[in-house]
Amino acid sequence: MYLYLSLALTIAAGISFVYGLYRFFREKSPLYVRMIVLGIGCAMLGRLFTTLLVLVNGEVFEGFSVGMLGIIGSFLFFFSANFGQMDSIVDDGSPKFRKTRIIALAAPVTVALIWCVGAAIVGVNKTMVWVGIEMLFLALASYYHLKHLIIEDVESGLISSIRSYNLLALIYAFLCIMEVLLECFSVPTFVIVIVYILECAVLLAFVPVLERGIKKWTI
Amino acid sequence: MDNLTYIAFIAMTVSLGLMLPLMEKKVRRLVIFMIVGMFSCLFVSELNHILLEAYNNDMFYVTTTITPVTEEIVKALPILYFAIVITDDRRVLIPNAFAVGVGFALLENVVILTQNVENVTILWAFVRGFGSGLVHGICTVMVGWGISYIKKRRKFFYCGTFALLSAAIIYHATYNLLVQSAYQYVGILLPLLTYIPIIYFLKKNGIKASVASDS
Repeated sequence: MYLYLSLALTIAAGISFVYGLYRFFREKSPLYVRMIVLGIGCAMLGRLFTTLLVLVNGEVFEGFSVGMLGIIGSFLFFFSANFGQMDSIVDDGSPKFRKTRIIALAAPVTVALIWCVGAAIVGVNKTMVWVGIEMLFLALASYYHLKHLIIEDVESGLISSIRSYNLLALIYAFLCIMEVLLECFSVPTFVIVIVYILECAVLLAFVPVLERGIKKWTI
Repeated sequence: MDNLTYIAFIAMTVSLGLMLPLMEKKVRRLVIFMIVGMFSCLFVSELNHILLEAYNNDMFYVTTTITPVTEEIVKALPILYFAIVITDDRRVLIPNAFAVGVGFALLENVVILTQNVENVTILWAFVRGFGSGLVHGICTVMVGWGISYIKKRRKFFYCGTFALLSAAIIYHATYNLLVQSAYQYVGILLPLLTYIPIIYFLKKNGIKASVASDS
């Protein structure tokens, strides 16, 4: 079943990536959205590798697997887009946004807590260490997703128009965490299927939601 | 018999090196980067031997999980050095990155040829030429694109390069996985299917010298 679920995620990420390429790489588009599309592409590559590994080998390797780099890479692209491109525009570093910055820390702290709870139950083994490394990048990205979700918009709608995207990205981050952790616990199959279905839905919604948001930038 | 990898490396690089004084500056730089790519391959071959022994000679695990990581990092180092010390202009960096990848693939193909000399065919040559040559070239170009931000936008450089490196490692590992499986023909098609759109995109948009146009 894992093979089919992984294949479904690969297809969903693939559709989203190809649509993103079609919408944003044919003509001049902001680097911000291009990086998000590349992030989805990286997620697709990681899922593709995992699917093929399960197909060829029958199972994924214990501990580090190259497929993990798909999630790490995709969230690094999202992080890079927010930290490198958007954050300096929406946050000038003034004390006015101090409260927002502190509240936004809730996202990485939650990620860290989830890992700690998981490690306390399962024990710190090779896989949990790599899951921890994966979560570090998820935590970094989730900080900016939450920050850009709640920050006051001073640049006439620049950030408020992509709040839906940031919300989706935050949901995707937590679904990825759930997906990884559910593999470590023996949970009912339908729970795993629901998480995968939600992940597929979020991946498919990424580009259309982003497209709707950035349309407002030019108006 | 001496190590065949070293023999192949010396035979190829000495001939190419002797040709360097006669070349134009741009061509010379490309050939130098090809030689650097071959040297990277030589270094990685030693590193991979150690890793293979450390993982009980589990060839499948090492080639799908470990060697893509080591190879992509080692290939990126000369490009990183060039971008820091000489220029981070994309018009120079991207062709040089591809040259490193092709140089790497050249020596790798020669080494594999010498190790399997009784089993290789013309088809094998096409498979290696299109498959491995393109995979190494494309992966190094991907990382080179991120490195081109090193002086202009540091924030992008740090995260973007690592993200692109991750993508390159997965792409490389997927190729290695497919060529060792029953789906090896899909593995051969993979680099071709990605090379064509990348070349189309680069030709259509041009390799921009400035990243200012990106923002």
